[in-house]
Amino acid sequence: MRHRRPSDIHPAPSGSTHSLPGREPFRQAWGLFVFSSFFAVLFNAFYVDGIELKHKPKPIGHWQSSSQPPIPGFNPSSPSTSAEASTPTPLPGEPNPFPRLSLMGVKERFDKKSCVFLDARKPEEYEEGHIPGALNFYGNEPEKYAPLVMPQLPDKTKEIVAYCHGGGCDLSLQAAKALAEAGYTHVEIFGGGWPEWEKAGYPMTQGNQP
Amino acid sequence: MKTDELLNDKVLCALSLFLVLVWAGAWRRLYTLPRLDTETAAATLLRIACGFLLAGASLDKLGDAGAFLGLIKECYFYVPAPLQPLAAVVIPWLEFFTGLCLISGFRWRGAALVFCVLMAAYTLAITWDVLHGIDCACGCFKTDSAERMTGWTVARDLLFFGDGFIVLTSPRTYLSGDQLNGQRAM
Repeated sequence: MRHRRPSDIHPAPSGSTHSLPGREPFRQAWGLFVFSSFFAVLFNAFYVDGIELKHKPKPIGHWQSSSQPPIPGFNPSSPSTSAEASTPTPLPGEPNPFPRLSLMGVKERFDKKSCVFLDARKPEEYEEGHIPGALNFYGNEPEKYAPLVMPQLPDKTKEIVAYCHGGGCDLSLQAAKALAEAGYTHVEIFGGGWPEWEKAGYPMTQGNQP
Repeated sequence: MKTDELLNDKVLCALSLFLVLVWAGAWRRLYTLPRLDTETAAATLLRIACGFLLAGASLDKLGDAGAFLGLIKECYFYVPAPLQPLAAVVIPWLEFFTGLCLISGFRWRGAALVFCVLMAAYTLAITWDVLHGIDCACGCFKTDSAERMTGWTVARDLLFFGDGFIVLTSPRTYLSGDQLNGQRAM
C-alpha cells in the first residue's frame, strides 16, 4: 500500500523541485540583518563590557624617550630607564596588531626570499644561531637597535617578519611595534619563533652577521 | 564529559554530514516515511541543525565583543579598520538571531540565506589566511579557542555552507513558524 505523502495532502507550492529562491529570502535576510544590527548596537551601548564603536587610530610613539635625542626614522615615546620599563606589554584585552605567521608561511617566504627576518632575541642568542639573513633587533632595546637596523631597511613597504622565542615571548612584538611606529607598513610575527624553526631542522647560521 | 567536549567541531561535522546524506537519500527517493515527505523532513532536520550550530557559535562572543574585536584585528585584519568594531558587535548577534530563526522556522529562508553568506565569508577569510600562512586561532566557536586555521577548517565551513544551501533551496520545511502564522511554507 502506498503511503499518502504530505504533498498529496498539502500540495507544495508550484515548482517544488529545488531551485534558487526568488526575492523574498533577500527581503527577509535584509530585515534580519537590520534588526540584528540595531539590537547589537543598542545592547553594546548599555552593556557594561561594551566596546567603543568609533574607530580610533592608535597613537604612535609611546616609547619616546625624552632624555635621548630622536633617532631618525624611529620615534619611541615613553621614557626607558631600564629594560623592563622599555618593554611595554599590551594592555589587557589589547590585541596583537600584527599578523601571525605559521612555520609553513615563514618557510615559504624564506624560500622565496620575499621578506626580511628580524631576530628579536638577545645578541648572544642571535650569535648562537638564527635564520640565515635575519637581522638582530633586540626587542627590549629598540632605541639602541633602531639606528643600526633601520638604515638596512630603506624600503618601508618591504615585508618584515619578526621572531623570538615563540610561545609567550613578547620581544618580537616589541620589535614589530618599533618598526610599525617608524613607518614600516608590512610587519608580521612568526609566532612559533626560533624554537619551531630549529625543531623543524631548517637552515640556520651562527655568528653576529646575518 | 563536558558539553563543549561532546559538541566539538568534528562531532558537528559528522552530524552535519550524516544529515546531508539523509537528505540526499530522501531526495533520491531511497526511502519513504509514513505521513511524512522524507525530503522535507530531512531539510527540516538540517535547518534546525544549522540553527543550533550558528546560535551555539555565537554564544561565546555575545558578551565579549572586546575579545572578538582582538581576534578580528589579529586574524582578519583585512576587514577595514573602521568597520572592525562594528563587525565585532554585530556579527555575533546576527549569528544568534539567524540561528534562532532557523531553529524556530520563522523567516527561515531569509535566515538560511544569511547563514550561507556568513559561511561563504568565513570560508573565504579562512582560505585567505591559510594560503598566506597566517597562523591564527579560528575563533569559530570560541574566541579563546586554541584551534588553529587549517585546510580542515576550510573543508568544514564548506560543508556547513552546503548544509545552508540545501536548506535555502528546499521547497519547504516542517515545523516552520511561518506556517503557524498562516503564511505559506516557502
